Amino acid sequence: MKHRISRRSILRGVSAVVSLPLLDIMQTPSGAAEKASGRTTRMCYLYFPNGAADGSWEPREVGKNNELLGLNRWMKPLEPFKQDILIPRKLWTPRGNGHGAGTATWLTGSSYDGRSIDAGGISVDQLASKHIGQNTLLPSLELSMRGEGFFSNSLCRNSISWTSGSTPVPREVEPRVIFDRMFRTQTGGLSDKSVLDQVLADARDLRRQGSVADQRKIDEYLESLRSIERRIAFADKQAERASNNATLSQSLIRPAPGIPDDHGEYMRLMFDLVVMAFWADATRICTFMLDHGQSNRYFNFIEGVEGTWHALSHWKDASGKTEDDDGVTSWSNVKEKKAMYNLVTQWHHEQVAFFLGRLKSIQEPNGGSLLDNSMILYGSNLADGHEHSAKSLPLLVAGHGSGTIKSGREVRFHRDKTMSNLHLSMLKAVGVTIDRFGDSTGPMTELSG
Amino acid sequence: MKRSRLVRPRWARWIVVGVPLLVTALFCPYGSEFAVALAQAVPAGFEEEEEEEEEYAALQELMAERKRLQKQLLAADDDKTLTTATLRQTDKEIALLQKVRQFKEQLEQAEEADDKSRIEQYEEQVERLTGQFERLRQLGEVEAGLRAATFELREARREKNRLAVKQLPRIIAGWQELISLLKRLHRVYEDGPEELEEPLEVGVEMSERLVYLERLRLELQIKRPEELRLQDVDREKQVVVLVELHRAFMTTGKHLLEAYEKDDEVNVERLEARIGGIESRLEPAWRLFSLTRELQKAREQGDSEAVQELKNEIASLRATNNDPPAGQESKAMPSPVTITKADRATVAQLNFQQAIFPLLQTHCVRCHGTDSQEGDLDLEKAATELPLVRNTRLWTSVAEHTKNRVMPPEEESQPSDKERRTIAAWLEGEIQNFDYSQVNDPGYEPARRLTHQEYGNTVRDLLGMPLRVTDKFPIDLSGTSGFDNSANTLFIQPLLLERYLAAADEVVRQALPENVVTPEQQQSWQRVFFTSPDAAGSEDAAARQILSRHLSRAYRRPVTSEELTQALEQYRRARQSGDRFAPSLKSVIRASLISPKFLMKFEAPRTSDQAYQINDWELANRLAYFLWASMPDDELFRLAKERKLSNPAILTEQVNRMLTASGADTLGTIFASQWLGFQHLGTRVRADPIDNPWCTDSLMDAMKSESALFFTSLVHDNQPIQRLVDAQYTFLNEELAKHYRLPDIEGEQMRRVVLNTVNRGGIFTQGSLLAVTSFPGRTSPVMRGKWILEDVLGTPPPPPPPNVSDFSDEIDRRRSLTRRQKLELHRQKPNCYACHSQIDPLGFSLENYDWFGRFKTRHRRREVDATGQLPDGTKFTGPAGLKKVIVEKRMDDLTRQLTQKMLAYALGRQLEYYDELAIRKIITSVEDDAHRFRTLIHAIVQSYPFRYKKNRAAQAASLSPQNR
Repeated sequence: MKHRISRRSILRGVSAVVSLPLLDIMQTPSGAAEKASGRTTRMCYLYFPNGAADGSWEPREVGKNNELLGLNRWMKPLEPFKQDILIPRKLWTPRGNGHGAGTATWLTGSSYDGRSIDAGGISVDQLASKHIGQNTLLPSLELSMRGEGFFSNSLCRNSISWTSGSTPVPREVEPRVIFDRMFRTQTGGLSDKSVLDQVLADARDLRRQGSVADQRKIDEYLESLRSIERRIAFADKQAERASNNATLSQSLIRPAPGIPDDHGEYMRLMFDLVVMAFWADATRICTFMLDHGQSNRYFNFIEGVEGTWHALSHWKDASGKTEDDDGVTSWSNVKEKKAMYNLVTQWHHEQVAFFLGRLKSIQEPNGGSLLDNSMILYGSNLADGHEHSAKSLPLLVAGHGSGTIKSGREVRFHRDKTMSNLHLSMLKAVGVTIDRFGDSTGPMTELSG
Repeated sequence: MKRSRLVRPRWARWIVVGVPLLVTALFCPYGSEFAVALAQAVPAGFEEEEEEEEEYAALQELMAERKRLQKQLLAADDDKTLTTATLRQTDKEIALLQKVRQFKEQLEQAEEADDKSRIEQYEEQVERLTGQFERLRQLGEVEAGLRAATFELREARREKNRLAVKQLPRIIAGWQELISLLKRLHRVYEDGPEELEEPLEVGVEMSERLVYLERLRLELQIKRPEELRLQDVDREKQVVVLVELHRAFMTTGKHLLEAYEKDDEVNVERLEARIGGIESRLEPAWRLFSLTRELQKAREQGDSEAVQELKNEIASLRATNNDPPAGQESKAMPSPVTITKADRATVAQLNFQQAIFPLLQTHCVRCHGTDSQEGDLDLEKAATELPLVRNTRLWTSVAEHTKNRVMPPEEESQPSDKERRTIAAWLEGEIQNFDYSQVNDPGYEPARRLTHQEYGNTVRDLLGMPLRVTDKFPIDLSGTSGFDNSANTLFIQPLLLERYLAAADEVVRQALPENVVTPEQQQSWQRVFFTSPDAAGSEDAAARQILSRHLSRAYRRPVTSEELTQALEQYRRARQSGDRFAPSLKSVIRASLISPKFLMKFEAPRTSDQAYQINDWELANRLAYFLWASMPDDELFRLAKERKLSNPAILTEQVNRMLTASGADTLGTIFASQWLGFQHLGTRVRADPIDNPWCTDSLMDAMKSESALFFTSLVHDNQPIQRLVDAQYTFLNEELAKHYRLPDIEGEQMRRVVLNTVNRGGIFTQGSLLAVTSFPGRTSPVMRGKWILEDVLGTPPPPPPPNVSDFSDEIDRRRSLTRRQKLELHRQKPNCYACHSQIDPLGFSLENYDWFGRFKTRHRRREVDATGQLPDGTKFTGPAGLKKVIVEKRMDDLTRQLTQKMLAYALGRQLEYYDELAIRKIITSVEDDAHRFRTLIHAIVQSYPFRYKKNRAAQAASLSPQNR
């Protein structure tokens, strides 16, 4: 079956600047900035695998005060947003590295143990969700493009969000299902409160009997149950408010079932759903894996690109012989291969630019656009894909975090600093009061200028 | 116009002459001095003004050669064909060269007379004849090579030199290919060198071909690749450098040509600079090659003065070139330290903490300690995990790396050989001699949720109706155990619980609707609502009976009175709120389907720090999820209730009963498919349906089904384990039989078919497995070999050493080689040989199967070569040979691997070191009963870890009253 879903169909109503009152279920804003501005900050983590080639993340021109004057040719799609982004250089992940461990620990700032399945701790998005996620229908939203090829069911390559070091959060891949979770709140058997009470009692019963290891599993269950209870409590309010607002409800068009064939269309549809979720305040925290940690997807649909992403990322090896390569595609030289690798990165920039554009077009009642009020970390767990290095990761922070981020700059450290410092600062910006995260050495104060 | 910029005399000559020059230098069989001289002369010969002199020298040389040949012809009384042919070639060359000189003289005269038309005419002639001479000479060299090889083959046959008889036909074929390539190249040049693309292509192919021939020749000389002498490797490496340079030159030339055409000034500039750079390296590379040859010769002749002189010259050349590839060779093949019996005896007395760990601290921990953990390796932590056999793999690899000098890396300080021997011998001893009988630990199976497949099956068996409710569940991801029933990868997350909720609604709606329509629904309804208020006497009594039975089945153990009371309360509340009798019960049933008691496999731990036997209910569950991937049936429940199931005789009887039931299919569809990997067909591995309309979903289903049914049948019929490999039957339907080109099978139904061909039968011949071990569109003998070693036999080859790819890419790019030839080349590198000599022959023997498992005897107009030879010399051909080798030589490995895999699946966890004793016991009972499948399953079911468990230390503590 082939599905063709126009990405236009879902956000049909949003073309110009739309103003929508915030839903009243969103209560006390918790961040310092929010308290001052009355704005609500959204957090988003956009992950892409396989790194970005050396040099492809360096701005073309930076001014005296580190302001971004021009991006390089590969980052061109993001040029219109250069006032809205901040590019940190020389951030790295000292402990987790590579396609597997590096993906699993991208947001935990720790090391990964594949045997016992331990990503070292809770991930930054889930920690934020514990603090600010309680104000929304979904405490957080975890999305992923559907995996393809080898490793598409590898745990560590598909997990960036962890509620604890040993519990990864599963990810939604189907647009309609995501839409339904947010906007067609079917509560199923749980409309019957007694059912909930019953299973809750069962879980507690088991917990009493179980060993420590067992209890951990049962806690997972209890945690899940609680989150569902919350969702039910929110559902009616959310649905009611949404139906009272004509602009919003008009633009809520349910996607067709299945996954669109066109990869770009699929990705933009997913981005639309994130915009939707933020706009309707169905969640304030989203992680979106643009592919799994060792994607060997073909990007032949991009003109001039041949071969799989992971193979391309090993651009210094033009033979096409990486472990999960197709063994068919080969390249005449490394330069050609590197250019293709960069084109794939650039293609992702185009999709992200689409996303940023959407966010920018939506004006929020308490001031600023949705982009102004967002904090989007976009990047990868590898620097240059061939070197498999985690030094100076390709990362950028988009959005102004409700005024907490001084954008339009490059922040270049003299020495390599851990990315956990950035995580810590972003957490602080949304009001999470902690002093350490992962292997952080201190907040990255440079974020606010 | 633009092209002419590329066709500068120098460059064009490199293209035309470079490759044939390689031929000359490498293969000219009895004129190596000539080859060396030529090699030295050619770069210099590019200088225009020296051309005449070179021509003259060449003529002189040819004349001398002619004399020598004539003498030889007169003197020799053996086979003269070779000499005659060479003489004929020489004559032709001389004649042509003389003609060239004649025209040149005339040209000079014309130039003096300033006769423009004649100048033009003679220039043309000179050019034409020079070209002709060059081509003739090139062709001559190659033909000489061919003739020599043919001659050698004759000799080899006479001398019964088996290796040579085997190799030489390949060399001859190589020469023939080379000749046709050369002729192609010449045709292009005769038409004028404007079209450079083709010669460039051909040139690349020829250079590739050459290295292959060189390898074959070397192999012939040295007989055993692992004994490659250092200077051979040295020379080999130089050849590679040369070929690489030529290839780079030609590739760059190609791009330069494109750049000229596009007027791409920026790239023209860049590429011109580059091609100049390559050119400047070509010359010294050739010089180095020649010098090395001379050195070799000087050594052979015992001319020590010349040796020293040449050595110095080579050293200085290398120094000025800063030539890293040449500098590394001596280190490329470090010889491992040898561990003696005495070493083993000495180290046996040593203590790890006092004698071994300090060595590791000195040499390893700086990079592989807790602080740095390079390569994800933390030896400090591993050293605290005792006994060390907990990390057998890790420590074995440490021993190997130490022994083989792979670690520490060159740039670090090196342990002495004695230290290396101490570390390796001690670790090996510790691992091999560990006394497992002192370990008394059946392990601990923690609570886990059901896998999606188990959930689906359990719902089906609970309600007696097949339902598809798990389609939208997020996929079960797999961790390191390889099976998706491993507790540590089975999480319950909000998202999944939401799916469970929806599924519970769906299940109740489909299986127990208000209006029963289908027979299945009727059956479900009767299974749950087996009594009625009328029959039971009251609504309450009926509800009690119905819920008691349903919950006991859903929780897969007796429902407790509290649980029943709570459930009845829930029912009553619904009933009182106005729902009718059945819907009120249904709300309880819905709740039961999302209760953790249903969703999880849970065994309540006992408070004990000793190992304890699991109870009969738990045993029933373990059995059912192992053999059926579903809940226990009524009979198992009954035996558990009567506490008879743990009786060994009854247990055996029950296992036999279960294995004949339909649920045992899951051993094929889940266990075997995850063990052998055919689950990935259609998802991870599939053909693009647009280009391959034959590759239908139904075909792939049939392929997977073949493997699954086959495995299940082995268990069902209690076959010996070796049938896995050499069975003479399989399962087919029409579509699959057509795919296999087997006649007379009609219809969609899969059925058992007795085979009368050795080309099918057993896992190695099944399309599903052949497909998942191939690349899309082509086979991979390496992947297949690795699959056999790693997955089927459980003896994975070690990962490739670092920096192995430099040479492999070279080989891989050569389009003219067959894949087998390429792999043979790969293998000859000493670093690769150790493992690939084991991996590749296994894979080669399956070369008759294409990437989707179709049988073929020819591939790309060549006969498929499905022969393989193991390092111990065992030769075998095709699937029949492979099956025989495995059955005769590797049954122990296969038995152990199957045992370990099945035990891990049965326990739903990764195996640990403390399972070793149980594994050994199971293997013994299997071996004692002719390797029968059922004996394996019985032995697993009766094994210590399957029937016992022991709380983990931390858990025991938490369960003790003080910590509560």
